[in-house]
Formats: sequence, C-alpha cells, structure tokens
Amino acid sequence: MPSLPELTKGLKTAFEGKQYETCLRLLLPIKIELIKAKLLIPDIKSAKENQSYLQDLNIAKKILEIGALSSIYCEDFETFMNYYSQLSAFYFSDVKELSDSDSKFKLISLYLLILLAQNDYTKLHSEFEFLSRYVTNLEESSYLSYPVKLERLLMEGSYQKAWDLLQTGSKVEEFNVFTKTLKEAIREEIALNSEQAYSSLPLFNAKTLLFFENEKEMEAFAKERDWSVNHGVITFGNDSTPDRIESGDTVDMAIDYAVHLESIV
Amino acid sequence: MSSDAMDIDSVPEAAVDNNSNEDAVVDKLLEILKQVSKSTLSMDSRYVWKSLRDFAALRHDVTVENTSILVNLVYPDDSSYKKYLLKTIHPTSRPKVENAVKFREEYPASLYQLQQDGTSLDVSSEVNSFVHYIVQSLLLDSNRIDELQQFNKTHVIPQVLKQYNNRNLDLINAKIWFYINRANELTSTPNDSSLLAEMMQYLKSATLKHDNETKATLITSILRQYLRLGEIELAADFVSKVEFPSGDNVSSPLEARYYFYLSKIHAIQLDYSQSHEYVISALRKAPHTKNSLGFLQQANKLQCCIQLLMGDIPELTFFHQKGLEKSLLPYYHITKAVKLGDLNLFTQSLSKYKKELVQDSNYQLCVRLRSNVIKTGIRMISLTYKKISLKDICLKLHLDSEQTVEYMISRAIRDGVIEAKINHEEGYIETSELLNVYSTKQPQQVFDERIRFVNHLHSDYVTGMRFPDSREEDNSKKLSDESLETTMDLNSMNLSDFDSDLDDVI
Repeated sequence: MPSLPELTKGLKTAFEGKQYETCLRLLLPIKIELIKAKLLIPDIKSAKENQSYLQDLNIAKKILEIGALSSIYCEDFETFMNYYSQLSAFYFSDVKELSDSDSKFKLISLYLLILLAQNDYTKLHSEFEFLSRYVTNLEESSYLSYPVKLERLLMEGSYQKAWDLLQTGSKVEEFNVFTKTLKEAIREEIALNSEQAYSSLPLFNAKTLLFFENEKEMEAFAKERDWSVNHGVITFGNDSTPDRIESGDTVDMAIDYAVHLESIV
Repeated sequence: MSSDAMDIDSVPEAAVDNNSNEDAVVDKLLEILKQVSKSTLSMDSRYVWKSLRDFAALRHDVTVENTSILVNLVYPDDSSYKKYLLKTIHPTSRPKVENAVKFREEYPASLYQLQQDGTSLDVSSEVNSFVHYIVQSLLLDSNRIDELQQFNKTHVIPQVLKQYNNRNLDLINAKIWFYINRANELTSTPNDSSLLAEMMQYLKSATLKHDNETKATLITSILRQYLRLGEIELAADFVSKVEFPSGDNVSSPLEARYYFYLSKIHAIQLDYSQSHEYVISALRKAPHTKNSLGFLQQANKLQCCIQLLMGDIPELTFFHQKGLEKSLLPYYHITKAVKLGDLNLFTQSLSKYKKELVQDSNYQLCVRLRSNVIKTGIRMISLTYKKISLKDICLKLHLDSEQTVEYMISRAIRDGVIEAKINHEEGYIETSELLNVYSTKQPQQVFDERIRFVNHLHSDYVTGMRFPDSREEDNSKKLSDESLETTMDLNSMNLSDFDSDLDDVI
C-alpha cells in the first residue's frame, strides 16, 4: 500500500494533466488513508491547538477540493455532493485557516448550480439563507453572483435573459459544465408554464418559445410530454371541472350538527 | 417575619431604609416557595403554575441582597447547594442572617426532604429548582451573562436538571432550560454545538416522561438554535421528526413561538400558504401585552413578508398598529414599492433598509419579492382588463420585450397569480371567467371546519372543568376559588419571558 504523500502526488499530477477519471479512481485509497489519519472529518478542537494537525487538515481540504472539481468534470454530480458535504465541514468551521480557500466560493457556486439544475428550490433557498450568515453580499461576490443571478431570472420568468446568460457562458469554465442541464431545466419550466397558459399553440411558435432549432425537435419534445399535435398545432388538455355539492353530504353534515347541538342544550 | 431578625452584616448603614422593602420581597419570595412546596404534598402541579406566575410579577424586585437573604434563610448550613448559590449571587460579600436556624424550624416541613444518606436534611427538589430559577433570572436581568453561563454549566445542568426525577418539577425545568439556552446564545459562538447535544438528550428524556412543557421549551430552543445557524434543512428535518405537544398540554406562548419558527422555516422553503397559516396562529396564540411586544413585532414583520410573497398587499391599517408603527417602517416602504409594481423604487428601498432587514433575517425573503413586484403588476392589469395585448403590458410594466412578457405571464398563470389564457397568434391575454365559489364545495367545507372547531372547543371546556370535592365541603370553597384562579391564569403564563427573548429573535 503506497503512503499518503505518494498518493497525493499522483493525484496532483493526474489533476493537472486533466485526467479526471484517474483522479476519482486515485481518490478512493486516499480517502481511506485520510480516515485513518483522522483527517477526513476535521476535529475543530484539536485544530485550534495543534498547528501541524491544522496543516494536515489543509492538505486534506485541498485533496477533497480536487475530488469535487474532478467529479464536476466527469459530470458525476452525486459524487460532487458527497465531496461538498465533506468540504462544508471545513468551509464553515470557525477556524480561519480552515475556512479560507481559493476555490471555496467556486465550489459553493457549483453546488448552488447543481441544486438549480435539479430544480430543488427548497434546498437552494435554504442554502441562500445559510450562506447569508457567512457572506454579506451574495449578489456581489464574483463567483456566487452567477447562480444568484440565474436563480432570480428563472424566478421572474425572464427565461430569455437566462438563456442568453447561459449562451454567452461564464469565465469560470467549471460553470459551463452546467449549461446543457440548465438549458434543459429552463425548457422544462417553459413547458410546464405553457401547459397552463395556452389552450393551443402552433408548433412554429412553440419552437421559438422553447428555443428549439427546428420544428422536428419541437415535435419530438411535444411527443415526449404527451401533448397532442394536430396539423401543426399543439393542444393542451387541461380543463378540470370543479366539484359540485353533493346533497347527501349536506344532509349528513346537518344531522351531525343537530346531534352536537342536542348534546350542548 | 419581624424586621429585627433581618440584621444583615454586609448591608451598609445607608441601606437601612431599604430594609423594610427588601424584607417584603423576601417575604413574598418565601410565600412563593411555600406555595411551590405545597405541590410536594398535593402532587398538584397547578401550585407550581401559580408560583411561577407570582414570581413573574415579582421579578423586577429581585436583587442581589434579597436573593442572598432568601438562600441564607431557606437552605440549612450544611446544604451542599448553599455555598455555591451564595457565591454565584455575589462573589465576595457574605450576608449573614441571624437566627436563621430558628426561622427554618418554623417553616413547613414540606420545604425539606431527607437526603439519600438518610441523615441530613436539605431543601426539597421543587424548592431547590425554584431557587435556582430565581438565581438564573437575577443573573440575566442584571446582565451578568458570563456568570449565568458558568452557573448553568457547572451547577444547574449537572446538579439540578439531571439529578431529580420528579413530575412536579416539569414546569420549573422548562423555565430553567429557557434561561440556559438564552445564556448560551448570548455568550458562545454559533458554531458551538455542545449545548445542542445536551438539549437533544434531555428532550429525549422529557419525551419519555411526558414532560410536555419542558419538551416544548426544548423544541423551540433547538429550532431557534438551528435558525440562528441558518441550518434550515436541519430545522425542517427536526420538525418532521419531533412531535410538538399539542393543544391544552402546553402554554400558549410556547406554542406561539413554535408556530413562529415553523412559519419562518416554511417561508424560506417557499411554502408560503403553509407559512402564512403558521404565522397567523403564532400571532393569535401570542399574548398581546407590553411584554410580548418584541415577539409581536417580529411576527408581524414576517407576516408582512409572507403576505407580499403570496401576492397579497397588507392593508394600510396593518402598518399603523399600536407599538409596531416604527418597526414596520422598512416593510411599509417595501410594500409600497410592490404595490406600485415599481422595480426601481423597490431596489431603492431594499438597499436603503438592508441593515434592518438583515437584522430581522428577512432580507433573503425580501430579495425574492423582486419577481413579485412584476407579478403584482401583471395581476393588477389582469384584474382591470378582460383582454389586453402583450405589447400594452410590456409598455405598462416597462419590460424590454414581448417575449419576456409572455414568459412572465405564463409563469404567473402557472403560479396561480392570475386566471387567464394567452392567445399567442394574436398576441393577447384573456382573463378567464371568474369562478363562482358558491357553486363549489368550498364554502361548505369552510363552514363545516368552523362548526367542528366550535364543537371541539365546547367539549374541551366541558372536560377541562374542575369541580370541588364534595367530601371536603368546607375546604373546597377556598380551594376552588384558588384553583379557578390558577386555571384561568394558565393562559397568561410565561409572559415575562417574551420581552427578554423575542426582541432579538432570529
């Protein structure tokens, strides 16, 4: 079994050589070593007292960051979530040396983007609330502003601006990994809205609304969602009839009230 | 008690005038303690209720001097508690009470109990806990937070809370926990979770003992702690796992607090209608007195945010409620911006009042209102016009393109803000016929719900009534008056804690 420094060195070269698959593979034995050295989950109390332990923890943090970034490049979001939850123990501790890191905000932003792409608004907003305790200006932080802005545009329904924002891409190359998923998420939103908002919609117009290149793609998308397409027009069947009053229920209730009234009087 | 027995060494000559006043307070405190001890005999915790209430009225009269006299009087000299209690109350001075032994002999026996070794006497568990509670409130009121924290850590938790196992203590324990949590909040860094673990553990045993009051206090404390850390997910998980003691088993201020936290969690998690229901219940359950003003302010602020987020505009009178006018001012300006549908004004007021909003931790909620400003605009238009072209809406709301408007309207339709259909080919929206609610089941359901509620209330009262025991005809008259008073007081209990706590609810 190779030692931790050797493994770390291997990991570093693999990461710099952009062999992300290899990175993820290398990380498995490293993590086991980290657990053995009690470094995977930081012990805040001894980190405050012991300088060398603190330094080791910082190395562990770097390793985890590499793992998180690699999993982003491999589009393995589940693994990223794991790394992120391990990292958050470092990022949000009250030891300054541990919580500071160059990639900190990048990784948090990536996490937010994943939540956004998964349409998990509940978690996303909980996370905003959580972050607002640590970061005073969410909108102005260079990394965090990207997911925050995107979220706001999506909430408003300014899909066109959101689409444009995605189309132009971001300076941070990791963010662009999400462009495809986020575009799909936007399309999904528009589709859901359209179902409610239109009774019928020509295929041609639907194409522009949903940012499709041609009508064929549009038609395939409509089929997927079980929309009926006739003569180039999509119709959405969504008429629900409100429930009517059943006389039987009314009678039951009235009798029930009478019984109660009797017991009071 | 005559005043000549109250010669106190440490009190300087000038304070002699105060002596009679101090005596009166000590007397009252002793009365309360005697009342507490009654519950030992009768096993009736209502006496504790009443004592807690009486103490709340007396709270501002409690001073270092009279507390130390009280401890000196009540505790036997060889009591293991006496020394550290006196030291906590005042680190240096040692007031001596002469003839204390003689006075102690006159106290009812129920104030004391045999220790485990069977030879020495010490104060009973109820009285002891109550005295600890008095000391806690003294320390908090005189702003000796660090000492309170120290006192809690070294004495209260290990020597009082964990030692006794007595159902009469439930109510006192709830109070004690409240102070522990409060002190911890004021002193430690948010990341320190040691107390959280302690509270969880005690919550477990409180649940097993059906100690509802303590359980409720702990649940609200834990929620508060989570919200302070911003751990909304954890808080939501916690809420889904614990069962808050319902209805009549717990005092209503605690319920109010619980509902307030629930409302906050749901609001952050975008479940506005649920959140609105909770904040309304919180406001209804909360006592409307001077002491609870801090809580009412916070709850009203939250309610305002939620209403706006749901697309409702609070009425003007809402902002002119007594005692709330000033604190609601930032919210008033934001509401105004939302009502006008003016994005610029909204951004302005948001940045102007950012500090206040962050302090109330409602800032993130208000940021979300941005999209509501637009939605309100759309809603106004949809209410006014039956049919309007997309282009006109675009002009009215100062938006940049028709396509954007179309997206926004379809979003608004999906969110249920307006009832309309878009006609894309001809570029207009048409408001759907307003649904006549009286043709649906809804009114009947609401009516049914209300009747059920009233019936339930009635049957609750019937079961809640207490009747004097027929065998003790003579005694009962006095007792029933007392118990009636006690029962009636239950609802006004706990008021005193609101002011110390809720002014800075997170």
